[in-house]
Amino acid sequence: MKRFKTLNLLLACLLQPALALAADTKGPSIWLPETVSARGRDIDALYMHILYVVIAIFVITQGLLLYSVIAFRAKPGRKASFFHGSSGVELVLAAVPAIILLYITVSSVQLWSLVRLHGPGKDAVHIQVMGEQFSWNFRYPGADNVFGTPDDVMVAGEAAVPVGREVVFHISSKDVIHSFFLPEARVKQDTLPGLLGRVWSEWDVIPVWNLATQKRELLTLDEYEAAPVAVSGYKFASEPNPVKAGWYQASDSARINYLRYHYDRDPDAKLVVLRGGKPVDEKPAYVQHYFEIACAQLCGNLHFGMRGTLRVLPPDEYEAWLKAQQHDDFLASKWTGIWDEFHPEYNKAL
Amino acid sequence: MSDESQHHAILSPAFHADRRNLRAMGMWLFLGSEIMFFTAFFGAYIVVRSAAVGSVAMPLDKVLGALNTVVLITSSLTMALGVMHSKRGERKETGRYLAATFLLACVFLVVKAVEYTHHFEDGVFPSHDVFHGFYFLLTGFHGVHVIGGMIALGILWNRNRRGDFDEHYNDPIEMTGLYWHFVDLVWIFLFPALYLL
Amino acid sequence: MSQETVDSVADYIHPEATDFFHKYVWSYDHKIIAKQYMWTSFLFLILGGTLAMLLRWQIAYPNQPVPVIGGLLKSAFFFDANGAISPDGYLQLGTMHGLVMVFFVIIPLIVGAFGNYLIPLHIGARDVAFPVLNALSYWLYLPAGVLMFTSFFVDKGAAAAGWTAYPPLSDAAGASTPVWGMNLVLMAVFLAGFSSILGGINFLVTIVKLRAPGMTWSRLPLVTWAQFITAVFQVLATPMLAAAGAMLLFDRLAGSSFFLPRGLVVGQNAIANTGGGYPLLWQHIFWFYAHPAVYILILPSMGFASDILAAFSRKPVFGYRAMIISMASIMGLGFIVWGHHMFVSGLNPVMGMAFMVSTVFIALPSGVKVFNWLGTLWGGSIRLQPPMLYAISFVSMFIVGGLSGIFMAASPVDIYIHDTYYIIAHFHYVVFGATLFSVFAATTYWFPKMFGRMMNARLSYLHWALTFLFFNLAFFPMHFLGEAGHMRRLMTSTGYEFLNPLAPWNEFITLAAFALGASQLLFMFNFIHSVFFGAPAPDNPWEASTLEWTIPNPVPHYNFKHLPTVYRGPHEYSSPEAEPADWLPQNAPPGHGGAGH
Repeated sequence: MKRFKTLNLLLACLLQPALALAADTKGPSIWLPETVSARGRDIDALYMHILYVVIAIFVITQGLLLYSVIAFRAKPGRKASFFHGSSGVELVLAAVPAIILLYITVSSVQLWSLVRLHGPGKDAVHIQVMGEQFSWNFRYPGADNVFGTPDDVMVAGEAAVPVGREVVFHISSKDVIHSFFLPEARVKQDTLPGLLGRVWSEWDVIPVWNLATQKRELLTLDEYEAAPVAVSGYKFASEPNPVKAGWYQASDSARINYLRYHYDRDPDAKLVVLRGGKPVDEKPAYVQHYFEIACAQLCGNLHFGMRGTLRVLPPDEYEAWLKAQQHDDFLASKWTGIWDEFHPEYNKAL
Repeated sequence: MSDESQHHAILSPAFHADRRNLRAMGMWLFLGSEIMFFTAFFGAYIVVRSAAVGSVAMPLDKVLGALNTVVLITSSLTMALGVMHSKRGERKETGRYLAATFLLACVFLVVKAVEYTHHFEDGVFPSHDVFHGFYFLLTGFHGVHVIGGMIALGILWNRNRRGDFDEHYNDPIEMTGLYWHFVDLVWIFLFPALYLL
Repeated sequence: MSQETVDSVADYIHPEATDFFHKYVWSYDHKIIAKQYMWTSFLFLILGGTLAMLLRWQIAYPNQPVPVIGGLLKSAFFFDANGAISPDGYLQLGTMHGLVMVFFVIIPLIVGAFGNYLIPLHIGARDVAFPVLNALSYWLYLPAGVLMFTSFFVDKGAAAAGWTAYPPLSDAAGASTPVWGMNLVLMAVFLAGFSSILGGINFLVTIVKLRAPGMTWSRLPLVTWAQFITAVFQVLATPMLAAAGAMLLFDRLAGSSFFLPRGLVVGQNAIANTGGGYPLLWQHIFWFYAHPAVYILILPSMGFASDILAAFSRKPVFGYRAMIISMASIMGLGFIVWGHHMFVSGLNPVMGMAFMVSTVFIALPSGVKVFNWLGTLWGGSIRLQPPMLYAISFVSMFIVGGLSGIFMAASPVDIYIHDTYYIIAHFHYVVFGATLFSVFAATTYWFPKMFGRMMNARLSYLHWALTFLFFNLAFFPMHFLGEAGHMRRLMTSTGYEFLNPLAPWNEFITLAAFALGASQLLFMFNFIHSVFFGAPAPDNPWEASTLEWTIPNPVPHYNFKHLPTVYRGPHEYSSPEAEPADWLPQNAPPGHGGAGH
């Protein structure tokens, strides 16, 4: 009976997450999160190519190992073959992996050039990211497209990017090394104090939360505009204009989550579907959602909690979101007092 | 060959020559590791220095630095002479040159102490800026190696006085000589890198 | 009493010690020093493993009080007021686990213990070139280890910036919590590094200068070749660690800013150091040492595996020369790949490309070695005794660890898997799965020679089976966690939604890790019990052909009564010259025919 329980526990541990993940991801492998851009798909493709090669080598070598142990085990009367090796075999055994490794090198070099050396386009959105123990700070250049001017938009914890446009992140840190990690976008780079890093990506899809299945889905812009997607925000029954109601504010992922669970229970938490920026009377099937930003470099005790969120929005909602962010003196002082004060050259990196 | 005989074995000149070869190889390898150690510092210094915008020559006392350079090179000379005399089995001369080397090393340290005192009086510590950080780091570790060499010299001088060395057996002196030349060599790189450029 | 003249260092043996202190404490005998290293390293293995068990508890059961120990040690060391692991404590556990395992377990075991014991015996010498230096090496290592552990007892605990100690976290006052803990750890590592450098010098001179007549370079056992190449790494690379550590200590104690740029503000406090430094500078100097260090961790174990595989397949190693060229290539290439740890650090992408190429190609010599091990088994007459089982597992798990490395070498993929559990899986497969299994192989294989007794075979088989099973159960799933994006050094994954589905896996891994840890008690018991009560061992229980098996148990103080003359290579098993036996010692004169029994 005890053995049965243990087996159950093992199976539960193995199957439950596997099934959960299988339903959740659209990546090429059961474990990889869904990709959101061409860059991500390219990286995943390279990963899968290497995986196929590695699986083949694994099967062959482990197979030969197992075979040898069984076929050549000592038996009475068995004598080992006496040979020191064979230069011919040795050369082949060196040449074949060399060719495979060369193939991997060439593929990697090509993709690396594309991802790291091919600069972003002129039409990109630029965002400065300042890592801090233990949160993420973001700054947008505002209408004048220059950092360090009064029209800059500064937010903490949650950033937004427009769908379908290249976004360049100018990353650094104010205290220790952090790492700006966007899993679905396959973006990761350490944020070093005293060094300005640049990573860029593009999001082809908008994350939404399916209220029926209670799972995240990724919709293209067309799908998004056709689908009844509700905007986050609550207690707006009296003010249906999204901008005026202050719907788009920093860190409203908390509100999104609230709505996920309470939308049919809280009378004030009415979800409203927007079309062309105007509310319409449709029952929502989705709520806007987000991607998570993770810190991937040990930065201190609360490294495990250094989480941010990234909203991906249609262009008009993105503009509305920018307009709706409110100025915070304390937040602004971090940028002016540290980033602008010690590294004004970072603001010219556009 | 039994254990007992080994206990009182006579170590022939061939043995000493053989052991000298081993010790020489060991010392060269040790110096190799020391070179890697100082290369890390020098490498870092070069990188930081060349990346600094508008680099300025370090505000150090060139005269004292040059004096120390002359002192150390002279000490290398006296060391070499000490080794030469020890190989000839000339105990008195060996002792004199070992002492001379030791004294010159003392002079070096005194001059260094004077320099450091001037810095501290001016309020310049390793925290002053990154160049002074390197200055204190490099000269500090070099100084530690000089002190190490001086300890070895002291022990050698004493052993020589007691008559431990002769023309067959003198490799501790020769090995220390190698080490001393290395310490001198590090300074010969240090001086221009920190004082002149 | 007859007196003899000694003409060469090779023929000289220091007088045998008579009192306890000189026999077992301050001993010049490489065999005793090796055993000192062995016992000390096994002790540190238990301690380092315990740190890992605590880590795993926290990951699987976040903020739950640790059973038994947590109740006893509330608010002490790395425990919080409830007896659970505190955030500071978690990082201390992770940091110290890594440092202890790398510097105080693996290197001292495979180089300090086995290198010391075997090198003179394998080359036909009476001791190493510098026996006094050898004793000093051990007596630098032990205090260094003790110093490491005292850091747990100081205010604010031990180092907590990861074993990689990246500044500014490891550097700037206020950025991280421990103060003297970090300083003590840096000093301990400095001491251990010094011990390592001296040991490397000793072994290099020994192998070059003290080989017995006829022991040419092409007749050396692969254990010796591996130790030789490892020693080159130790002498040339370890000083870089010393330099980096010295600079970090300078920043911490003397207020310099080698690694601290201007304008660092922790919380709301500007830190005192004046700036002008570069965090990346640390990474370059550190990884210039630490990458060769990982080859120090694997090369000796490759040597053990090669010789053991040959002995238990009863045939020579396949491609002896290629094995040596591979090890030398690993050494050469090993110095120019360090940047692959820095692909996502902000390093110039062009440099990243250069490091990618060298890194992918270092897989080639390792691959050649794997094929040669397979070739050694092929056509053999395989005796599946405990050393052989461990050695075969070494090959199997080295294959997994090596293949997972290819993903990291491809830098675009590394962008995603860097600093995730993928990396943890990779290095545990090579350091635990490969090297530690090789240590088990070496221990069971050379135990009879070292202690004159046999280890219990049945216990070894059981230990092997359980360790193999639970090791794979614990570490293979980490590849999947890494694929899912699970970052490293997280005290709990519950803070991130995308990691929540993985929590059951974390629990599964922890349970497997506990079982793995418990299984090691079998080995420990077997080892200790067999030292005192094991069955007396014949001089050559494995019928092996290298020189250590030609001398009696227990090995006398002077090793060889007469220095041997070597006539052939180390793996002449099943050679026609040996008939009717299937093995022939290296020092049996030609035409001797069937070897000893």
